[in-house]
Amino acid sequence: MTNPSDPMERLRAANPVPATVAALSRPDPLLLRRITSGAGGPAARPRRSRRRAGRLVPVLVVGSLLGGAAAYGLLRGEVSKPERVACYELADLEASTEVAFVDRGGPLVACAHLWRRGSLGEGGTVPQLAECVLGSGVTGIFPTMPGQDVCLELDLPTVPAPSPPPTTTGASAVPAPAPAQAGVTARILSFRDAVAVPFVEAPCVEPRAGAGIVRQELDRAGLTDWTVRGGEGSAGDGFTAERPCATLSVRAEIRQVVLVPSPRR
Amino acid sequence: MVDDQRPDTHALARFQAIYEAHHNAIAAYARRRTTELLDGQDVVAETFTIAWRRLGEVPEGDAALPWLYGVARRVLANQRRGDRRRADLSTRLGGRRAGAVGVESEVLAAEDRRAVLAALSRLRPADQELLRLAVWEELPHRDIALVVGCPEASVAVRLHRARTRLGREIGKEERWGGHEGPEGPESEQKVKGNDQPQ
Repeated sequence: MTNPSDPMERLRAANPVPATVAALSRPDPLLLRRITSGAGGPAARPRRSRRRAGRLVPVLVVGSLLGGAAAYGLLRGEVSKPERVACYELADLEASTEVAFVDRGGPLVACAHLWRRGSLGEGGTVPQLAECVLGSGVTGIFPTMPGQDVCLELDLPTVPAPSPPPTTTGASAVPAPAPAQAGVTARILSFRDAVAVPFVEAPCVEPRAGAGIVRQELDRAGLTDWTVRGGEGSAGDGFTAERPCATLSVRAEIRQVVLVPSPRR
Repeated sequence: MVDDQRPDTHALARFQAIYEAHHNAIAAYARRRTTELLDGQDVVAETFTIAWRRLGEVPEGDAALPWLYGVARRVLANQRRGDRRRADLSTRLGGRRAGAVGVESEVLAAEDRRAVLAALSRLRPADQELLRLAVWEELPHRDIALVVGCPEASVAVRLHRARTRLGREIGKEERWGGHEGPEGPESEQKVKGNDQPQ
């Protein structure tokens, strides 16, 4: 029998992600492949070897997904979450970071703004900045110096489809953005801005209604090939009397929006 | 034959086993401490990216999970919100507000959660993390010590103190909405041995 006045019991009841909800998660195989694909990884021990058959397995699996996911980039080196950027204070993956949302100006502009207003560094000076792709698929912006290749030093890919730089230049030359990729980014940003409003305004969005809202906004943004998961009322989608409301998880890398159970506000 | 510096299949297999065994725990840890699901996903990705790069440092067996929690904790500590306008909107997307319309018992439960979490947020960060690890992650004292970097023997004492502080803050939250009250700090009233406001 639990003691309702015990602060620990009350804290347990206030767990935002109870074990039952946590158990609904599944390890993302795409993230695993993104992390382990390409060069780098654990401190490599130079050795003489022929190409090993076992090494081919993750490469072949990733290759089979190319057809359906190329537009959004699943391989290491592709920005799969264009709506955010991680602005690093140093050229170090474990340095302090400011996470910013990307608007039409692009990730470099977003980070330059943080440097200018003093959220990063001192004095409002914007250093030379370099764009790299983090393992999470988010763009990482690092301070750099002339002649330095920060992305190479950090073993990160450079951004293949850059945003227009304001007063900074990247450490490495980058090609002009592909129109298709720029259009997709704009549509994802448009969808994100539009879908947030009804979910913020209402104290609780029922899952079926939430799925309808998401579908409507995806169609309006031209993301007609995206899927919506959860909220159909099927067993196992996690919606209960204690967690009857829907919040959203946007997974651009697999073109999916997931409705996640949440308690009433 | 050619020099090859790519990771071997043993490393890949070991990392995959670690990832599949502990992904859910790290994902839940991140989601409990972030206001947006996307932020939680980033924390998971960065945590396991660091684990992959430092695979040789990841302990074997059951000790791997506390090590991963420690990495996730540092990843979270290094991240701060940027754009305030967007952050406000996004926080409300997954946040809580009083006055929701619904069944009375559900409304009361939601208000109780709000009060407890508000009280928790007023504790020192170290106390908050101790309580979360013990209650939400349900870690034994040994693992808590590994995550926060303190002697195992001190965890019980620190938890007891944090629990007491939490209870006090919950009481304030319920009586005064988190403020000290109209007559000043309650602690001063207790020191004076005075049950009534002056």
